[in-house]
Amino acid sequence: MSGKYVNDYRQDLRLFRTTPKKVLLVVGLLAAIALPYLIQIQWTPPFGFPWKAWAKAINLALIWSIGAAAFNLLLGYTGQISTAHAAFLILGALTGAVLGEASAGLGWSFWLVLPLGGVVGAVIGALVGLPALRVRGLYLFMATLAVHFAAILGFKMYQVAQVGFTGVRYFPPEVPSFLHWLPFVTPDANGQFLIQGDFRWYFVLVPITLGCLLFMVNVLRSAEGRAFVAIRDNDVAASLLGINVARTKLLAFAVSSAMVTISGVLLSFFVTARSDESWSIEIILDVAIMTVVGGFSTIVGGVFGAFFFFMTPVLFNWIRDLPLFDRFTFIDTYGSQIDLAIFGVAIVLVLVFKPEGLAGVWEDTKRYFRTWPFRY
Amino acid sequence: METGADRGGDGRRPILELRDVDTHYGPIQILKDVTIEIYPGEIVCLLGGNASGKTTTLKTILGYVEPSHGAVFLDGEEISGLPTQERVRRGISMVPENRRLFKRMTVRENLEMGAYLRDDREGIEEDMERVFELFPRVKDRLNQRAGTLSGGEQQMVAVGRALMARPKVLLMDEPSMGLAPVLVAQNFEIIEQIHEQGTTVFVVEQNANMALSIADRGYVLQTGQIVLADTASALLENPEMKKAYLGELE
Ligand SMILES: Nc1ncnc2c1ncn2[C@@H]1O[C@H](COP(=O)(O)OP(=O)(O)OP(=O)(O)O)[C@@H](O)[C@H]1O
Ligand SMILES: [Mg+2]
Repeated sequence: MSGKYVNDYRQDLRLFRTTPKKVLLVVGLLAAIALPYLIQIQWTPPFGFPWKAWAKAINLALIWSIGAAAFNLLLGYTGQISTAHAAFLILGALTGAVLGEASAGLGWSFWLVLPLGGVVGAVIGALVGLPALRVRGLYLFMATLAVHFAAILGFKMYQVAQVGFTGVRYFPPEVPSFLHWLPFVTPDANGQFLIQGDFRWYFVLVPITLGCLLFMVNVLRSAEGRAFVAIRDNDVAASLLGINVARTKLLAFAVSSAMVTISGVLLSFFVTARSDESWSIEIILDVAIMTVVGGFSTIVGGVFGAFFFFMTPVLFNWIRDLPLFDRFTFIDTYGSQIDLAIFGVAIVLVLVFKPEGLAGVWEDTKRYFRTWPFRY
Repeated sequence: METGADRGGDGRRPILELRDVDTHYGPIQILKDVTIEIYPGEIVCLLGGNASGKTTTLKTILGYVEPSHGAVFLDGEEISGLPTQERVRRGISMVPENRRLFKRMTVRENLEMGAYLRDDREGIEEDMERVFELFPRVKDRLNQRAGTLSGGEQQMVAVGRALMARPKVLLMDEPSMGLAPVLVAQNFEIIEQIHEQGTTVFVVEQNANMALSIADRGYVLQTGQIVLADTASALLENPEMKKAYLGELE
């Protein structure tokens, strides 16, 4: 019985706990750096395993990790539901479109637009959180839903007025010049330092995502973070202890929305084109899937969830194309529906067998190795 | 700003005072011209049957409802109109009806939340020790989730959490509700101890006998009006009280 038990939320928050954690950290870092190089290797794996297809999935997962963790901060920690998630992705896309190097943008640097997106997101997020001061649960769900449609309308109006039906194009950002000396930063064929393609984006996204996640972890560890949890558990008791419930709820909305908006800026520049049809209400379901499967009320849960969400379809696609399944044509016909059904089954399995989600499985694995060879 | 009354004659000023307070929920008037004075170092109890307005009185003190007439004073300064967290900051703490613990936090975290507005580390540690002295059982359960505690243990944590704010005045809403008779007696002993350590206590109770046995003075609330106000010993002897609240004991 030498395993450390998780029995308070502050322990939940700790990212790296014991001495093996440092080993794990180093191994993880090395793996993270090696990963894109491995994917680049010219090699055809057996059975046509979709080696290359991971690259894009991983980058998307990195971007969406931020949003899933932010959703968790709001719902899992503070107990506030918001369906305005996509609205803040749109806000990020708009910030990039208006200010950044995009079709009709002002051409400001990506590195300026990105944090500005966070500021805009925080302000609008606090405004969107205002209904949370009066209503909760399903009513808040409905109130924030209105924001979703307003945001789509807003983007459409901008698009029609400024760029036309083709949608907004986002141009590749540049590596800031003070980083050009780094050995692994090399100019492309045209002598430019443009961030294009999955390989380069990966090295941009990893630090940004990590930064955002660490920021959220730190917020949650602060007194404000404890106030989030207090409000979720019992808002009357929270106010009795001198917590300003209104202010704290708005703060949670502001932080969460700022993070989602930043991920919206990233997403737009990463996929390079956005239109009013890029966003559907399903986005909130996608984020909910990531949150539940990954692990509710943990920040790493969002990361696990996002990776599950983007990487499993690649795997499914590959399995579907295996010669084994050639005879079952319906599998090709209903491919995406089958993916959704599998997600559904995964959610049910998680809810029944592992309510802590993939983050919980991860904890168990670590505990298993920490206590190895003595099981308890 | 208006200053509080000085009716003690000996120059003492109430630490907490409700003066001529009317409180409404929408159109319905609950409190009618309620005046209550609590002096530093006292235990004062507010007695009354169900729906007489006891909880509403506490809500008015903390600002969950605002009086439509009259005012609340803390230490001579008007606090009605201030947000709840500001009143808490100025030294009012409450153990609410039904305890309202943070069920998914551990006992320790609940206690720490009590000190949310403070940042004097040593002071917090000291008060934590004080809580352990009052409730040795709490110390054994520090890492247990509060939702899994027994009712009696939850009551201890709720009181401990309120004390962690180091309040000038501690408000308690029916602390003996739902507790077995043994625990009720224990609970009142604890209140006396807290009081001896220098905290002024305002306790709302239906258990008039118990409350009066530890209180200095008591008020009786009936459909939102104060119908009796006297020292505890006088109330215990009052024939009307005996009939209405204490049961015919003689
Ligand atoms: N938020 C509210 N809106 C409308 N009426 C309310 C509200 N809260 C309380 N009341 C009413 O005010 C009256 C007094 O309630 P209060 O909770 O103060 O009684 P109490 O003396 O604490 O009773 P108990 O001993 O049962 O706790 C009751 O009739 C109650 O229905
Ligand atoms: Mg009551």
